[in-house]
Amino acid sequence: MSILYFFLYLLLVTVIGLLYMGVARKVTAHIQNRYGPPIYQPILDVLKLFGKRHTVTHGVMHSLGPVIAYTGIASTLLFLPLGNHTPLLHFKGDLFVVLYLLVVGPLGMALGAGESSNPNATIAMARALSLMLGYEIIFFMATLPVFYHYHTASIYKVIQAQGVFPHWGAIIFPISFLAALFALQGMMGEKPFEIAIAPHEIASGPMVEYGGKYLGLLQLWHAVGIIVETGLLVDIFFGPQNIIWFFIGTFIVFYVVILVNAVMPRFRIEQAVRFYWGIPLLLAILGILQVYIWR
Amino acid sequence: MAMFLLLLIIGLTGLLAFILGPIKVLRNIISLIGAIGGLLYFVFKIRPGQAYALNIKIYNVHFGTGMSALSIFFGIILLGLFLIFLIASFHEDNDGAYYMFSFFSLLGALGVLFAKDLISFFFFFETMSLFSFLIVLKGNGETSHRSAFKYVMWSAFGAYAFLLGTFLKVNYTHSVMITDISYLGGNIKLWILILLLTPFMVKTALMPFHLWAPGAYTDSKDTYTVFLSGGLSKIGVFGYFIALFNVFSQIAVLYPWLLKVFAYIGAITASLAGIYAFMQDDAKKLLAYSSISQLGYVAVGFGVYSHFSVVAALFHALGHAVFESLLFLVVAGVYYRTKTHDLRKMGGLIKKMPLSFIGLLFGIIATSGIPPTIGFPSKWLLYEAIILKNDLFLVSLVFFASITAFLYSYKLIHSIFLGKLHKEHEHIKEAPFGYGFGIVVLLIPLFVLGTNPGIVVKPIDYIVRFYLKPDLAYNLTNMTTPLGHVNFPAIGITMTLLFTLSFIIYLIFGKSYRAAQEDNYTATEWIDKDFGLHYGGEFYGFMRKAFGKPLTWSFEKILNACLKVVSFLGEIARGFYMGDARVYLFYIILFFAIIVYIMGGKL
Amino acid sequence: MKLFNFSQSRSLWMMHFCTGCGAMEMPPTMTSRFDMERFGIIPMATPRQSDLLLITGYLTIKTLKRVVRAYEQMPTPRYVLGFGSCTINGGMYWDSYNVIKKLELYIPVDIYINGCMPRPEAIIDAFLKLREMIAKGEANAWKKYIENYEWYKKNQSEVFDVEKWSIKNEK
Repeated sequence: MSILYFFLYLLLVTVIGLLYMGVARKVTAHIQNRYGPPIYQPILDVLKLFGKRHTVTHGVMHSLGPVIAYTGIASTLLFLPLGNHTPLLHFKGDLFVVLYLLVVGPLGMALGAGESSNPNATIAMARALSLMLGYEIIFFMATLPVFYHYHTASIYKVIQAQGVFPHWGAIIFPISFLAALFALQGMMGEKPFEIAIAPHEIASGPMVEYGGKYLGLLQLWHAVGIIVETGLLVDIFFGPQNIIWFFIGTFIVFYVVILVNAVMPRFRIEQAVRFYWGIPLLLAILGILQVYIWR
Repeated sequence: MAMFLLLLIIGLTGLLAFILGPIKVLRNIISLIGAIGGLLYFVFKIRPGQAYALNIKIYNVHFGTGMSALSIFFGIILLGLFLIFLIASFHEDNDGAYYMFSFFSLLGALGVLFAKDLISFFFFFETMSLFSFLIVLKGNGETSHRSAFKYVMWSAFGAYAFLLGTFLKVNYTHSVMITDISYLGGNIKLWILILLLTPFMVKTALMPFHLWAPGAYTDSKDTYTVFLSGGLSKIGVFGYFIALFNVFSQIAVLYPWLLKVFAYIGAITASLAGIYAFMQDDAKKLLAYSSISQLGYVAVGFGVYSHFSVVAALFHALGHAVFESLLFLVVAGVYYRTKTHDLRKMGGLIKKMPLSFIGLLFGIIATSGIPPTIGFPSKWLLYEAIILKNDLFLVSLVFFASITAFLYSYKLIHSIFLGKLHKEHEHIKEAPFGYGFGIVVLLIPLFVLGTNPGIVVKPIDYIVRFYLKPDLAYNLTNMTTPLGHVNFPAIGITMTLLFTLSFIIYLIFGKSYRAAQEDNYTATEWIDKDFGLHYGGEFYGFMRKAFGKPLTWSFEKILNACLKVVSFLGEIARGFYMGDARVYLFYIILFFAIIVYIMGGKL
Repeated sequence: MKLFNFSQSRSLWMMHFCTGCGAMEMPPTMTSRFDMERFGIIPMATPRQSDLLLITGYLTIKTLKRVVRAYEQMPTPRYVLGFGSCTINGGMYWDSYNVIKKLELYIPVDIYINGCMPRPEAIIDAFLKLREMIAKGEANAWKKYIENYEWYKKNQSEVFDVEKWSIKNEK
């Protein structure tokens, strides 16, 4: 029974993530004065990709790359509480476990992309990892004050400790929240930080040699990734929500991200990293100082 | 007596290996028997609390040895790694002296663990440094002489600081034993502490003292680097413990700022060495910096100075011994086949050396601290310990360092194993048995301790509990700190299950066929079979732009500037005595001018 | 199978590879006036990810080599859309020495658009027609390529060096 529940849970989040991707395309289309595809379009895309008969692989690691990526993000999901909903595994969602499991996905994809021996893929992975040096540290520093304030490292306890509306993390720590929003943009790899994918420049980067079911798995990875990344922000900054409000919260955060994405050009990689070490870092430091002063 | 017997076994084996040098098979068998015998003897005969097996009294000074649980912990790491090094080293072309030196360096290291007084501590420490210096000298690089020289100079610097500290301590406490000095008055105790800490900071290559490490690690023979980085640097960690707990037990009360400085030095070392690591193009140099970076975490753990931060530091020292040795071993195996360390000249070896690839893959996963490997528990504990100490900037710095680990790990694995296979490597085989054996053996603790950290945390806790108030609850698989709770195997099991699920999804759908190397998307242009598709050089080259100028700063430049100042002053001094006629003429004129000036007032 | 055919028909990823002057008509088709994304058709960066290859206009021998290579790199099922008169009979280049006249001789084509050049409306119309064909399972030109591989290779070898340019993988 619990196994069934677990599969349904994963399926539900994957489908919702795919719908989010559809919404992103629709919204972008509307901003560009187009109709855009139906919001269930990514589901069709994934079905189509899995339906491809012959695809190409460059070796064992190249095939396993997307598998590891999806494994990583799905395990992160199970350790992450969705709003009030306790995480499926009994850890109460420890921050460090979640942060480290989040890396498994990119690592898997990096290994897979690396084996294709296409320089575009490797350049993209080098960029993605370097960008991590920018956003990951900002995200970490921005979430620290909340965890420090409530004296726990468990995401679930942080959610419970926050309480209803005026006591949200986002209201108590507005500076940190702003920094976290900056970091989220890079974490989701949307413009202006779309440096690793960059279809017009390095031919969609890590995905350059992936087609068919591999690309399908990567789409699923991306779909769950959207929920996990925005969900992490909602959990830490928006207090206890039931599952419906949780998804509304993630949607709002995601909406902000795609609005920025739709109107922004793309940074060069060193510009992006330097950008993160400028204003967002300052904001994150101010957030930490705020919690120090508070105590 | 047991300890002396062990040292005797190790020393005699070394001598025998030297004598039997020309007869390769016999020499190898003897040294193998010696190393295995030493390990077994250590495991079965030596127990904590076997103290003062020998008490010599010369000029009212006691010399003594003894065992503590900590010595056992580090002794097993040392002897185990030595065995792995030895088996792999049989594939290299070494002479008898090489084995003698390596056995003697092991002897020195074990002696340090047994020593109960500072003089014998110093003696064994120097033995270790000297013989490892001789081995670096026998290394395979063209620059190995220079590196070895650097290594011995830095070791000597540390050793003399230690000796000075010892003399100061003897002067004030009238005892050479490792005893508490925190009751001494004045600031002298601080100086003694810093002097005693110096050689260990050199040994673990903490930032201002790290300059020897990249050279020595790169230029020593590949297999010995496994022991040098994984094993001998642990003596530094052991020294931290001795200095911070046994010699100076009240440091948290008396000099909390010193601990803070120590922790920050560790964190800065971890971050900067991580950045240097991913800018390297030489596999061993990259690993050398990675090793420095990982030992930075250990220093942070000691600097934070709470019960489970020290547990984390010791656990991380063990983890470092496992994964860093694994990485060095794989690189050694790759070198054995390809005869190069240059990351730009390798690539695509995954198809030729699958076992080495698996070793390196899990090695880098552990280095990055991703669960369920041995790297994760210590990092998790360390983060929570720092947050509990209210230092959010320190924890951010440590986190930054752990991100750099992803960067250099990926560079390493991609440049060696992924990407395009070079033409000259088409007929390469898997690394030979000695390397494969080490890889397989090291993979076992990597996973077992990653999912069941309780096995090691229990003895470590038993050691640390004696000095600091325990605040970590644990059993075999779970750990609970005041901040959070983790069940380690649960992560592993979840990942395995989900991997199976994703793998099933992968298997159900569509067929895929293997593409040839040159069947790659190259904007649909035709490429030759040996067209250079591998992206090896200038990996992360753009980060040079991102960091800008600060990346070019280094301690070496500061030291070189000092050198310039010194040689300039020396030049002036030399000119003073041995200048040419014009200089003397100048002196004479100056002399008269001064006389005239002085007399001028009177005239 | 039906589900896959349906989703394939609703989601056509197009190879972003402009071979001739007809590519000029693609930007208006993509952007706000005609918006082909509403049919799930978007340009993709590499042949590995694409389902649909557009031959936009005349095809010189020099480009044909690359087109064949790209076509062979695409995962099956894959579709080809011949765009403009040039792909049918050479169009205004009917007597050119280095432009191929009949695309069908070299790679199998699912659907043609007539005209020089076809308007975006015509392109959209072709997409919709192709979509219908895929949904019904009628767009099977890619199977022809696998079945008559030798024949296509023979034709190709008359204009360029097949040994060098085609991809040698066992299927």
